[in-house]
Amino acid sequence: KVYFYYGLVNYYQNHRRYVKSRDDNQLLGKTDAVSKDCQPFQKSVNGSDYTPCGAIANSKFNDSLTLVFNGSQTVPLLNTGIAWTTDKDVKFKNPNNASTYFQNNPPPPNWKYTAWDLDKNNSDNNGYKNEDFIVWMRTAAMPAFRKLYRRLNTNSSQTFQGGLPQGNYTLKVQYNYPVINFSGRKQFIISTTSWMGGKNPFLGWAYIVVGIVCMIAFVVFFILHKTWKL
Amino acid sequence: MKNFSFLKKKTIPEETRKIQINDREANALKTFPKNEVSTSKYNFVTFLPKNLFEQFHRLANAYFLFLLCLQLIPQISSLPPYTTIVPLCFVLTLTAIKDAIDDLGRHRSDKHVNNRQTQVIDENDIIFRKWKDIQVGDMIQLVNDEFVTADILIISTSEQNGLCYIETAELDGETNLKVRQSLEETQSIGDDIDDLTNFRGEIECDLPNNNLNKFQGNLKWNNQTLPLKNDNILLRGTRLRNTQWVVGIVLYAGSDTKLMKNTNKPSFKRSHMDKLLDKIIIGILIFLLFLCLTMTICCSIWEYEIGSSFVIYLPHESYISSNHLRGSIQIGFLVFLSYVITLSTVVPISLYVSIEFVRLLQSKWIDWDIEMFYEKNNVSAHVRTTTLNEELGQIQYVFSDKTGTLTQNIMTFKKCSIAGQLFGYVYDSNGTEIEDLNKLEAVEMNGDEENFLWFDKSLIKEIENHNENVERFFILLSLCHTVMIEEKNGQISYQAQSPDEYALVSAARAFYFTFQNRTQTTITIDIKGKQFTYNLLNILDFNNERQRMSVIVEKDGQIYLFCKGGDTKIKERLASNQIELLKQTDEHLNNFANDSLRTLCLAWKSIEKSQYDQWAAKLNVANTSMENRDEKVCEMYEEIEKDLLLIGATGIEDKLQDGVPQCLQRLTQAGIKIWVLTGDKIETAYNIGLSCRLLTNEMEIQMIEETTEEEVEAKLSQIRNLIIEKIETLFDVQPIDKTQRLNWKQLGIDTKNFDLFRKKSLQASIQSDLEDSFNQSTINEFFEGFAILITGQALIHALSDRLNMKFLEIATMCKALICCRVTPMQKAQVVELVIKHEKQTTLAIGDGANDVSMIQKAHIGIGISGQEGQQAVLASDFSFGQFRYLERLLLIHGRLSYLRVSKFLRYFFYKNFAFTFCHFWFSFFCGFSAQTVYDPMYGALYNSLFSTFPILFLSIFDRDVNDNYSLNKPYLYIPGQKDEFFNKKLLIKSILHGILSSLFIFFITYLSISNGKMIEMDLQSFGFLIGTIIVIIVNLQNALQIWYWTIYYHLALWLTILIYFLFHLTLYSTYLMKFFRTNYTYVGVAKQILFDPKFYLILILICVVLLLPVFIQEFYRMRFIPDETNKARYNQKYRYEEKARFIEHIRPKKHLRKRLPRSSYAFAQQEGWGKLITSGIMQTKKKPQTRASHDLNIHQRKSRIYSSNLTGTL
Repeated sequence: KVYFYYGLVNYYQNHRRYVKSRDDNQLLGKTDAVSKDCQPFQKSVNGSDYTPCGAIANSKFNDSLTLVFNGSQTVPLLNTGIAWTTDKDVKFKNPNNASTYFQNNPPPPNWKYTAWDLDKNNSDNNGYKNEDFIVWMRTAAMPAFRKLYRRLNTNSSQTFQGGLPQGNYTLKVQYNYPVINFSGRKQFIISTTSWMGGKNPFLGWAYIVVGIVCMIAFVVFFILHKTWKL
Repeated sequence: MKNFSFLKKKTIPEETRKIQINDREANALKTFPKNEVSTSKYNFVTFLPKNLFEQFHRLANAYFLFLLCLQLIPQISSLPPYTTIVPLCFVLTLTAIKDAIDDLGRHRSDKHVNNRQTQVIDENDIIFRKWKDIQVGDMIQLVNDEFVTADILIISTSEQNGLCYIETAELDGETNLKVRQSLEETQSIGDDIDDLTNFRGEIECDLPNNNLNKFQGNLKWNNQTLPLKNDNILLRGTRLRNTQWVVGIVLYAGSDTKLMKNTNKPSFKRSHMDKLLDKIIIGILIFLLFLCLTMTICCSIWEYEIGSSFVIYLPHESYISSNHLRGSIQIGFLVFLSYVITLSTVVPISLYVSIEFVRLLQSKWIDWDIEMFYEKNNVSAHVRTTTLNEELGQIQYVFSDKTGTLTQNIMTFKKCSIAGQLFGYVYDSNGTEIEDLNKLEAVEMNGDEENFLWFDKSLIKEIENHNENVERFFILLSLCHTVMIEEKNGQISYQAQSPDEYALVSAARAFYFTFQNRTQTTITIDIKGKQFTYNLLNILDFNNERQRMSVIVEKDGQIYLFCKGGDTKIKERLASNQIELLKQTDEHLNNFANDSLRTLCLAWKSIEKSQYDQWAAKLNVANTSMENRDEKVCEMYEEIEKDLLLIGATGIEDKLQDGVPQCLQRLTQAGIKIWVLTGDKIETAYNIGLSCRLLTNEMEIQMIEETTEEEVEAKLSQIRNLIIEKIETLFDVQPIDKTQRLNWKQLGIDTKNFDLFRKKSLQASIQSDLEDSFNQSTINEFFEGFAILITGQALIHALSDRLNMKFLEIATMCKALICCRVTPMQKAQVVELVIKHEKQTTLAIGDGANDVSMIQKAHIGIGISGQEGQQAVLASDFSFGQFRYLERLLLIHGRLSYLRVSKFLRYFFYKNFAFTFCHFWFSFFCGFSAQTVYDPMYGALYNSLFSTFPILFLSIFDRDVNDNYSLNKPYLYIPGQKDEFFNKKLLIKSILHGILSSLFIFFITYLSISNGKMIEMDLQSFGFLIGTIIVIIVNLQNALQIWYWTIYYHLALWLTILIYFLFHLTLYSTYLMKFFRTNYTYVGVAKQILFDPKFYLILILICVVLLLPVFIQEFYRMRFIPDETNKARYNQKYRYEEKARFIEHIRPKKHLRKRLPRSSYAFAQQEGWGKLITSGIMQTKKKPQTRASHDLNIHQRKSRIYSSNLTGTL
């Protein structure tokens, strides 16, 4: 299994005002007036609620990244199955009559199109239920974070059945998302996972060190205990 | 000048109280308080506002109210308001309920007192009225054994000469009867109901005051003005005794009575720990503000550097200035308040309520302690103030009443020496003394004395053999006294001024030498069934100077003088041929003294008629002389009381309460200083001091009996020099700087074991030449410290501003201090002196109303529910039935409570800092925006649900050693006194531990989940991960703290962790959608984290990293530097001390020379009733001379019949 991530550095998705700026009820498909928490992306000038509202939604990452193998073959990527199933099933729902709803209400100011245009090919991945959107809405814990962008479609072609074969890969970036003015950086990460998640040497080293300390402590304790006379 | 006198005239009426007798209307015009007393705090209406007001006075509650207000402002609120509202309401309600229950109890007890009934003479009738309806100026009639309703003026009594007897135990703790007298002029009214109804007049008296011994006033009646003295009034709190009835007029009622004026309003007591806690919280708040300020600065910088450029994705609010710098600073300041909210959990809101809950449950241990249940009176220990438990583990000074507290106030005749023969000791067949007499069968004695037990058959034999000396001994006992007789249902009972006299006369009766009757001139005694009447010629009464009393009696033409008194005084007056006998008796007296008996010597002589007549004539002259009459009379007494023949000596036991010596010994070993404050005489106090081992023969005892300030000052410096001298000769110390305050600690001497600090050179020479120098032997004697006895007179000066520090210096150097003849106020003053200048924890224990002021003043007041009424108990914080329970209360419950509360507090701050500081670390990553790491719900419940139960159970069940160990090793108490388990240093340690824990938890987790500095995890998961680890760590940390594992603790610990998981799995589940039509924002997070194996790897890693060092530290401490508590715990487990003791047992002991036992002779009695008897005022009471008193005695429901009887007889 191969996963593709985009990473953002120096991006404060965990800022209090940022974290707060959303309305979970709206994302649940309820069409009541949105919460004040979304300020200043609560209402458009004409008074109708942004769909979706809030700073998080407004700042959704919208670069599109494509990977080309050996200069010709586009790597087939899946844009589903990248969000938590609970989020997809329970936390995010589209309102009834989604297409008209999204057309009648304005998208956040930064968006070029409405939420209903997020994935026109897959109505189950459209609107609030768009997995790119869901992933973005799950705010990162730290200012240097990566988010799952795509996963490799191993079924569509023979070449990628066993993962990414060796070769030249070209990353094509459609640049929409500015990060320069807050000296942010973008990354694109290709990774496999094990049962322990991604690669992380820290835990291994920590276990070795702590294990050695424990062993020493055991020996010392044992000797001290045996020689303890009162 | 004229002006001045005019003013004076005007002010006089305001300075006195004028009462119209029997005139309710006239008195109603004045605003005298009613006789209703109220000790309650709230009523139905005032409860809510008053209670809330009081609660918000508490620092913590006010703080949380303030936080709540902050949280309501959306711009700065970093947490939803419910995180504060819910716990705050919970805390407020709980406290309010507790206060309400407390106050209900007070209402109830007030009601009980207020609804007692008393007889009021109203319109030719006697009616019953409730106490609360009694008014000033009412005329009331009291009957025998009734409590006096209010402060009243005696009009007439049932007894001759208008006498009446009262027991003042509730007022001053003295149980002997006191005499009060009506005005001669009004006594004639008797109890004629018409005359009483028509009694009109005006009383002018002092304004209400608290002086029990002073009263001045005038009665204007029948056109005469009669002066009123203190002798003419009865005070509320006293009890009428041996008097059929008394008619009186209410002078002061309710809150005006001297009793109530003497009871200070109970002040709210707070333990040292509470006060320390307040300081700590203020300290932490300052620390918090400092943190927030740091955050503000950091935030401003961040906003200026980064945030301002991040506005494309996170625009500023409209009210933030668009100016770069100004906007940053504005945000910084807003963040300050946000961080106040976020970091506010360093001061846990549940702290106060938890600690109070813990104390409440701890006090149940005391309430339920079966070992503290006094079966005889059916009294169990009771905690009346539940907020002081841990204070019991920190007591440094105990102030104890004597009568009824240390002693049972029962005197019994135990031993005697007659003509050189010792009686009262029982030996077994081997000739060794049997000390435990309870197993023996008592000799059968005169059935009238049921409680008298005697075991020595030899004395009975001697009586049967008509041994002349023995008979004379008992005849003396039955003649030489001032005891009165009261007949009740054909039974003779004795009324004595002092319990000693009572004991002697009763003892004589038990041996069939019954004192039967006395008139002004005769005494009738019954010897083995035969009546003998002696003519009473003179009573040479007791006084403090003489320390003896004599009677001169005549029978069959023979005149005898019988004398009893203190041994020194008698010795001086013996005939010269008595030396041999005296020697023997002296030895016996020493025996008695060693057994802590109160001793008296008895002597007699027969007087020639002519010699007596001569002397009597001279006495008469002396008696009628106008100048120095008392001195002259005394001289005459001296003249006749000489060349006495010794009969023997008596040994009376002032029965201590069970286990008192042991209890005191243990408390002393626990480093508690015991000061006895008693109304008794110095000799009595001295005796009791010896018998309860408070004073020992190995102590350096000094008495301060001086009466003027100069003398007291001189004495104090003298004692100080003596102490210095003694220390320098005995101990290996640096030369003492005489200008500095003496202090054992500074001298480097541990008062618990003086021997350790004795001069080394001298210690070595103990075995060597004993006959060497006198000096050496004095140094080698035992030394157990200093002790001081001081009289109330001297104490007045010693407590003055000029001398009190000097006094305190000496007093604190002493192991024991006994204050004699002190007033209730002085008791409180002594306590206050120690509290104020020593800053140490004090405990006062007493049983009478005279102890109330001291009980209220001390940090902890303990009431003994004894015979002296409930006043002391009502004013106390703890109460129980016997003094000896004090050791259990302090050494077991107090010590454990202190230990538990200490652990509780240490842990509480630890866990809250561990919890809160994650926010702090996180702030460096979230742009100092006051974003919280955790789910707000978790934050709200952390303190109540996820970390509280184990510590609660720890603070209820934890113990280091078992009860027996605690009692037998009193030194385990000392850490409490030194604040060793909870102090600022330990607190800072706990806080640092908490901070470090949070640091490790935060960064290990952060590093573990980041891949190449990038983190995939979202904020909610991260918060849940950290929160879970904290809960587990913090609870396991608690498990490392507990010493005593119980099933309850196991349950609490593991269930807490289990509940944590269950709660979150439920809260974060998708099921909520079904019930609430909405999700919790954290939906799915728990599943995501808990099914990730990495979580467990991180958890185990952090557990090891954080708990192993604690484990190592504990092990190291136990292994290499164990303190006494740890040693004791280890001891208990492996019992190695028992083995050591065995080895000690078989090793030969070194012997120190003992000082000769100090004898203790006493004649403890007030000036007797001799004068009253011989002058005929006080007579043997015959069968009630009063008419209808029978009805009275039966019961007073038929007041109508009674009143008609009254009128009929007069």
